[in-house]
Amino acid sequence: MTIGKRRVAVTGLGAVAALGHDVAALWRALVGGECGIRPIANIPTDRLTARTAAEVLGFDPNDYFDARRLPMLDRTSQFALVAARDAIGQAAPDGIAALGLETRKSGVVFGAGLGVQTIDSSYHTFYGEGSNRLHPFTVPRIMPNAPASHISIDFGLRGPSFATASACASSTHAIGLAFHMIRAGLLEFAVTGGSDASLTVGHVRAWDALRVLSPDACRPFSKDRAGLVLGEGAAVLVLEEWEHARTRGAMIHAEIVGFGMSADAGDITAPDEAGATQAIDAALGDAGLKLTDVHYVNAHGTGTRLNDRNETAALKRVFGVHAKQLAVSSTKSMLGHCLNAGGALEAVAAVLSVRDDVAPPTVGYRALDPECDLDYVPNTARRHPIGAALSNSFAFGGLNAVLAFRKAV
Amino acid sequence: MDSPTAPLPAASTDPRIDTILDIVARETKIDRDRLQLDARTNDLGIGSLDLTLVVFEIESHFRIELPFALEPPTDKSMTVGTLVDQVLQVLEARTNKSVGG
Repeated sequence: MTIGKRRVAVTGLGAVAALGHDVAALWRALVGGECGIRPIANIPTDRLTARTAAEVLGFDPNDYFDARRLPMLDRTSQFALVAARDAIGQAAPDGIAALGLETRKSGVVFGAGLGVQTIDSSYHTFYGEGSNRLHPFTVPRIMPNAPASHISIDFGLRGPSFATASACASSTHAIGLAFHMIRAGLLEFAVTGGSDASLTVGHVRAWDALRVLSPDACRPFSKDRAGLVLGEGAAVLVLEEWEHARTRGAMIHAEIVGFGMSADAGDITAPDEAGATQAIDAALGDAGLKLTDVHYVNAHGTGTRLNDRNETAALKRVFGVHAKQLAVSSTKSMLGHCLNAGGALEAVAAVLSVRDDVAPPTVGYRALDPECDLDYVPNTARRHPIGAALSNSFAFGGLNAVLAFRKAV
Repeated sequence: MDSPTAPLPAASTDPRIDTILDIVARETKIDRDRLQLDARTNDLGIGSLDLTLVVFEIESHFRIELPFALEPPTDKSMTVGTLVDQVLQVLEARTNKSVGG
């Protein structure tokens, strides 16, 4: 089958997160084992139980957007656009027009990104203060496709473009679909990823109420782990049909080779070993990778008791004896759980691990849990050859997505 | 060019017009000197979303509600004067209502 042979290159990466406002700063910090989780600074915490998060600090939107544009952009779209400029700046330093693409084959597939800060402040104005003065751009700022739309507008991408919604797997599903659409010939060039800026008092309190937040640190896979810590940010990947990227001499970070999806069809929040296993299996099968080709897994690794135990069991079920040879780490230990952006930030880490042969660590790891007995790269990054890597996302709602990346050769 | 509605007082005689034009300039980032009453909003590059924002800010400032369907914002004949006139009409109506008791 001819179209099955089309390959897909990752030619641009961009990010905004607690550990940096561009992908270069982010990757230096991840490899350095820096932790972006700190006492919450951007919002009042007196009504919150959990008072730590991985916030993006020192981000002044006026540094990136002019005063006429800004009223239209919720922080979610601001992050998305800044990360997109970072990624597209790498992929197309002379501008997208110079790539000679068909605009109808260039699109944006992006994780749904609600304008949560706009929702929060509008509700406060309307219900809290009893004012009818809602900002006229409230609706376009809130809509979950706003980040996808703004990227398409800014870069003139006129091909198939839309937003995906699967909670914490949204951006992983977006990246996987963008990859499959290029492989199938529906797109030649895709800007994909996710963005999240939902650290409002009301939203953090809602997570508090679910009793999954850690009171202090995020310690994935560690025996003393106590839950997840929320974060915010965005990450963008530029995907491109392989021959196009090669012919124009693009710098290729890695090849995206596999995407697997599954649904637990069980509990709405509790993870499921069979569902996770099925998604990992599907990604490996889609990629045509042997188990021993994979050297690194960027885990979903939320730091909750259930997820980390379940994910470990799924990896052992898929990889068998090779599971012990894998480096498995959770960058959520440094970036927090960035929800709709989480999968994209972690995909960026997986791509760079393959490019640079280094596995970022799981920081905050302190004690072995007999139910989590893999190599979690505790606290210090490790340099070792990484031929292929996976990035796992297992979302609330039981919707799972796994990506596979291979060294560009 | 004449405004399509009632004649307007000269800007110098009504400080409210200055206030309205200040708001338009602030929200659209258009040079205040270009906001002549006979200038067409279309020619100034004021789009429908800009106008929505301008109306929102004017409403907030004067604590009024503008029945803004009076003249579709995309109407090519829309001028700065049309907008000013509509605001003044609402303000006058409010004044008369409060005087009349």
